[in-house]
Amino acid sequence: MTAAIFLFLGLFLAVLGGLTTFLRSDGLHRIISLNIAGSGVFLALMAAPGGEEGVDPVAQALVLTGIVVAVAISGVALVLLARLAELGGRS
Amino acid sequence: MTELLDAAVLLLAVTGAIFFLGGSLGLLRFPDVYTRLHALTKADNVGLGLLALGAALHLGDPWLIGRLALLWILVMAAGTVSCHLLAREAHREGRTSWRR
Amino acid sequence: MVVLDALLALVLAGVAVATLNGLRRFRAVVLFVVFGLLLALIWARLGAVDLALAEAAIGAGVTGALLMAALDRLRRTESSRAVAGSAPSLWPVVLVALAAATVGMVAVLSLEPAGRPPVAFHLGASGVDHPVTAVLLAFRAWDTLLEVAVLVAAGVAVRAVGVVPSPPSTEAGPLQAGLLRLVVPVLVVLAVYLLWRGSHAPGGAFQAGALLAAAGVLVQLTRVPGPMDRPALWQRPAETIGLAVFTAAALITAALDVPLAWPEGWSKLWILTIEAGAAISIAVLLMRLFAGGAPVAAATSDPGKGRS
Repeated sequence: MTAAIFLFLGLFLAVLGGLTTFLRSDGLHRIISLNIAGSGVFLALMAAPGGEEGVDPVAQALVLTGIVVAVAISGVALVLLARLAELGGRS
Repeated sequence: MTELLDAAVLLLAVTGAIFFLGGSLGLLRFPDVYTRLHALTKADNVGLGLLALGAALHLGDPWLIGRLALLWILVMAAGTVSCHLLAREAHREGRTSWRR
Repeated sequence: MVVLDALLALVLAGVAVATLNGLRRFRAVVLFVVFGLLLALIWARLGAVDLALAEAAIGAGVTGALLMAALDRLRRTESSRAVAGSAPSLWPVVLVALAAATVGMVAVLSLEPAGRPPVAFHLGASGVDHPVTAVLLAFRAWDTLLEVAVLVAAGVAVRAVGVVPSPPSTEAGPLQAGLLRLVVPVLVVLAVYLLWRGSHAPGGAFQAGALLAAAGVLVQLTRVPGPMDRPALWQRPAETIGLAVFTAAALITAALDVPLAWPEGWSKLWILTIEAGAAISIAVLLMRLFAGGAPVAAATSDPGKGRS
């Protein structure tokens, strides 16, 4: 039951963040919504098995890798955004 | 004996939660940034201390108690410095204190 | 307990909608950090303690710091306070997301449960006692190697985009310096502890690296110039040591037998060495991402703002 709630939450966040990334026009907001979409996907991945036999360590390792890659990508995107604004482009 | 311990844990946890609630109420209801910072920082630190004490009594393992104490000290340090920095910036921006 | 979980899920959904709604960037960043911390609670509820540690440290902490740094740079370049383009109403999106989530739930729950990989069965062969560390560094070490490479690539990209922005005008006060003296040694000790703990309990290189990065960000914020601002000999080796150690280990084991198959009986030593290198690199690379550019020598006054 716990896992089902979080599975629904994860799918909801994934679609919410994904759609908002396309609907917002500001770069910072888009990076945030992309991160939220990613978190939703991780939540769905972890909650999908259903949790009877404990946590799946392979899924945990996958999501851990995902979190680190997400921060790396967010970092580069943010630096690109700031640099673009400094050079006079539209952010 | 365990009933007494459980009652103490419950009392500490509930009091801690009340302190947190009070801090949040202060954040929402106080008139200016300085009073809000004051309410939030003080109440949240005390609330965390009470919760940590309750958790320590409940768990009993000395290593865990040490780690909970370290947690409380670190959160207090971070909260204090954050509060100071926010108040300093508000002062530099020229925000005046609320007068009656 | 289900009521608690439902409440937590509801609050997280509310915070997510509040984050994505609205025009002000600062508000969105702060709410995103709250989102990350609540998500860490949810990971703990699901029993994934490694993820809770990583989400709190990396997802909420480091990403929040990166967002704040970018926000500061954007504020300094933009003349007007007004922000952020258009913000369409979020309610249609919420309804679509709810509908899609329902469809997705039905689809996922109708699937046959797949067999779990037998990690617990093979745990003894990996050399460590913690299943997640075993998967990360013994069974799927190739993926972790590539993950470290992604971080190094991010560091290279950030260096290539421009130089670090000029430091802020407000000086750090005595309280910040005092906090540094208290907190940085504690963070270093905690990082080493988490690194060692990863072999038998939740912990590991990424969480340890994030703690060291937090200490580094504190130093970067307090000292002017910070450790990432001026070119120094230790920077490039520190950024690449994780990838170098990992690749060296892969090549050595390839020459011996099978690549990334740690030798019998020595696996724990190999894994800890690789994790130590990875933690250092992760810390310095995250600090580089926070600093936001390549280091610049003191003589150059123009950090590259405006057209050259």
